[in-house]
Amino acid sequence: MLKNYLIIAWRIALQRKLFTLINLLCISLTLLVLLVLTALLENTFQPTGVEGKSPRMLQILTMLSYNDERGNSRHSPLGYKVITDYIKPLPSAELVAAVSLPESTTVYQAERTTDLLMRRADAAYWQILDFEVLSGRVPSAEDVATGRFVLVLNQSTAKQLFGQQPAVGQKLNVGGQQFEVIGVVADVLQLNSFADMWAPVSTYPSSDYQHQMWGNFTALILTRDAANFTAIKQELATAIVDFQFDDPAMWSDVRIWADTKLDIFARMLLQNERQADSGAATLLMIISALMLLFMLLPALNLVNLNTGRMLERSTEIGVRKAFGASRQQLIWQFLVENLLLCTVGGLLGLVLAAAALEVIESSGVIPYLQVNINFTVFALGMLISIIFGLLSGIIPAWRTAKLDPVHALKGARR
Amino acid sequence: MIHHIFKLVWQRKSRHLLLSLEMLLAFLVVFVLCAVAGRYYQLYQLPTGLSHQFHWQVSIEGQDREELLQHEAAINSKTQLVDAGNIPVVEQYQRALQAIPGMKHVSFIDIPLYDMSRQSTTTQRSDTQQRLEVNVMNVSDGFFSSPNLRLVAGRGFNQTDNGAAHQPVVIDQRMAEQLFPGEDPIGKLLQEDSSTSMTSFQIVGVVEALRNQGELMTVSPTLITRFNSQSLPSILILQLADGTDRSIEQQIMQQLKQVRSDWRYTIEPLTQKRQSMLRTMMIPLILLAVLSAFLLSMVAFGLFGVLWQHTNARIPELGLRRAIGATAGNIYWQIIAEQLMLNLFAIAIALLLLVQLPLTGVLGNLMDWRLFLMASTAATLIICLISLVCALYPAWRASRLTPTEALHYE
Amino acid sequence: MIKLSAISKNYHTDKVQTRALDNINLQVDAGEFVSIMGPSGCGKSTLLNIIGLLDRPASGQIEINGQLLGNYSDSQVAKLRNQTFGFIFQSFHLINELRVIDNVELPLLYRKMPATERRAKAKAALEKVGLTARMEHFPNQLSGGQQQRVAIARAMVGEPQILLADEPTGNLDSQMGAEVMSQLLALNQAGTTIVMVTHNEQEAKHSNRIVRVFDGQLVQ
Repeated sequence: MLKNYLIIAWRIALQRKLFTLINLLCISLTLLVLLVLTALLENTFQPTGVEGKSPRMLQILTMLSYNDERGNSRHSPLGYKVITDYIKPLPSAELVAAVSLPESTTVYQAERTTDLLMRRADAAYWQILDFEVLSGRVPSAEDVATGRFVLVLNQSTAKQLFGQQPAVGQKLNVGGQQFEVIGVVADVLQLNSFADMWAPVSTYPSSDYQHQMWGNFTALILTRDAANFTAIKQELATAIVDFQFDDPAMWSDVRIWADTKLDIFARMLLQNERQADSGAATLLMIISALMLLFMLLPALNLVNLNTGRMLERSTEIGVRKAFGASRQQLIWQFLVENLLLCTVGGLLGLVLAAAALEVIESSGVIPYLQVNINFTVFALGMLISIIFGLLSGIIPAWRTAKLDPVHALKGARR
Repeated sequence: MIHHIFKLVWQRKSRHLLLSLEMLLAFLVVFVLCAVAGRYYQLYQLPTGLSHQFHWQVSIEGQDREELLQHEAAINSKTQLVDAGNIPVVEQYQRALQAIPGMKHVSFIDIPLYDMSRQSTTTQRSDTQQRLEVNVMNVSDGFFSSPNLRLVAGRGFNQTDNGAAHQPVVIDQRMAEQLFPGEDPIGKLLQEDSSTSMTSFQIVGVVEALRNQGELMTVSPTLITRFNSQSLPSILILQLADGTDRSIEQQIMQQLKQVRSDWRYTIEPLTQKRQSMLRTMMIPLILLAVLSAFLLSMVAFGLFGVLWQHTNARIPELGLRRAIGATAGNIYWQIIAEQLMLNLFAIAIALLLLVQLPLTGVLGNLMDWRLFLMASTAATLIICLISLVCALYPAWRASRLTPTEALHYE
Repeated sequence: MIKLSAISKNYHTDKVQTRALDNINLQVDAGEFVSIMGPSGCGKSTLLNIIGLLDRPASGQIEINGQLLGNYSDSQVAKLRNQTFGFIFQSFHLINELRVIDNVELPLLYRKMPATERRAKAKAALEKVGLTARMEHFPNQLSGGQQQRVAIARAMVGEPQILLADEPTGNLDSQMGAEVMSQLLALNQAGTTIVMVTHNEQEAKHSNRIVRVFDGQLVQ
């Protein structure tokens, strides 16, 4: 029977080429948007690759220092001293890395000046993040400890600066300091690994950074597994109870939160700086609501198209009913038809999405973006496409199949 | 005829309900896009008070610790510093940089230009105690030589402000309007909004505008305070002779290193900073535009299909119209007019919802009536255009059928 | 009033070419009531459509009110259809979304006429067919006979000289059919020329003249 339905569906699709095409295009365009969005969101919140250890990683992006009596408040990235004094000693942390936010620097070559983003990192950074080393090596603990002027570039930057020549071993003037390139890593666009080049934290012109409470640093905390998150958060809360400011008269209290990726964005966007709850649940709800709202448009579109398609075929339904087809059988046929359309549309959408991501990546609109449609997104896409098929198929199919044969037959006359 | 088409559309309302809902949603999306774009356009037209051509910005980092030491030293024995032949570091930078050929002006500020950062404070009128949240920026005397920073009243900072009883400040027009409506702000006193602080300011000038983030920054009241030579330098703005190119940067770097080699310097041409700032600010708009383009193309495909089906279903009716004297052109325009009318229904409902935005003022001065009108007109045009394009082919096809074909069409 | 000379018409279906009308000569004078009869598929509806300018002949000439229709433009033909002819169809062809009164007004919409005048004329036409009470109803709320009477009112509202009826009673039972026929006869008496396609010999007997078509040709 299913085979029979499939054959009928196929014939009808061929007969109405234009509609089939429009239907397919609508489904695949919808999926394209959805897949690209999910891929981007996934890359942000649940990255694979360089920041693949994110599920067992917490991080601190900013701290809030305040003194409510004086009305002072300051919201800034961490100083290096905060990380060494308060974060590194946390007992549940397996590894803690300190890395600066990308800082704009200028590279001077013989006849060229290039503006690039540079991060300065300690040795643990290279252990927590799994950079794909294309040539050379990344800085070792010794490089960082002795303050060697070594530099790691990413692929695009290496190409931009040295063209086809091998970058490793080259000397480079970065903001007036002489560095030697020791490694090239693959491009990446993720929260903590986005930069054009990296140097050891000890290459700052002055060692003042070691004594600063406020600075430009982020702390990455790696744990054995996610079960330790609560422990870390508690330990951190205890550790900062007696936080020592340089200027205790101006500043009395501090708030530092160890967050997952989702928490970080939630805290940033919803500005929940003072309470432990980052509002991640709210953020997820907002994102889902927006997605749903966006999806409403294509869903409506499909329902419209399908209703029209069914109305047009009311004669056919009348004939089928007159010859004894039951409502169930008719609904089945329409469902099979819709599912077939959605499956083909879904597959087409996946291909289109892959192509679109390829285009986005290579166009450089979003620099260093490397996203792949992975299996989860693929499955999600298929599932959504089928839900769309049912949603947009079942209502019109039900409505049409409900018609009396006489009305269905007559319907075609008007 | 319009009345007649109205009746037809109205009678088919249940069949058109979902279609109108779709058009309504599409309109909302386009409206948001147009509103954001319109807002950006409005902001872009306003003066920034900044010049970027042949201007360089130097940001100095790593001097935090130094600040404390110097501060302490200065407090302990102000005279001792001068006696030791220690010129303030600001002065040293001035001298070192002026030595570069082509250097026109060197000025100091405390927040970077064409950058996301901004700082704000609450200030109040000394006489009425009226309070206002303002953006605040600290600039040196030389900053007023910037060609685009236009004074509307009073003057910029200069040497005569040294040792004045009240700290001199310059405000922008927006602040003058909000805090001193209908009054002359020059000479008026302001104070910091803190019971403990006794610092008071005297307004010496009013500038047209100063928006440190650049063209796309919202206009908000701005207070400009004076950077004195004892302050800690963090951002330098260098104005160089026309035609200077980026090769000058190495020379600038050398001169800077001569003053303090343990501090970090980042030298960037302002033109480039401005461009990257504009690009950053445009990202949400571009994302929205790409997303809308996809959604709209989908809506267009769907609309085309639905219109095609609707017209097909109505061919006998159209045949009848032909039989009783409608020309092919009448039929063509009827279909298009019906679609446009359906559209206008949806748009009218959407506008009823959207008009609440400027009416209630939820978005404050983000959305004024002009922007609302601009965005709704543009969105209406776009949606009608899409509708029109989608209706053209089905309408043409229906009008081409001969009356007999149409009357017997199945 | 109407003069057809040497009218031929072919139909093309995929590969087969069918001759629907073959060298037809026909004249209808003012005030006449002509019935066209013949078996299914003989071409009588095609003939009516050509008379009513719904279709164009492959060859031959049509003269209406002494004017030869050469290559008239679409809008000129539409104007003739609107002002000279009224149409009645077997399946009524009323627009279900419009009320009875709006359906009757329809032909006047394609003329330049103020709305109040249109309304008045439509009311008068409905009065003639005795359906003033049903003015505000929708077509599907009426019986078949009433619907066809609405169609007659619509055909007459523009005061055409010629009324073309394509099996006007074909979808109706005999009682309703008789009602419709009496309306047509009354119109003919009032001076309207009527050309009617019918299967019904009884109805045809009411007319002045019966034209029989067989296999695309007139048989006398």
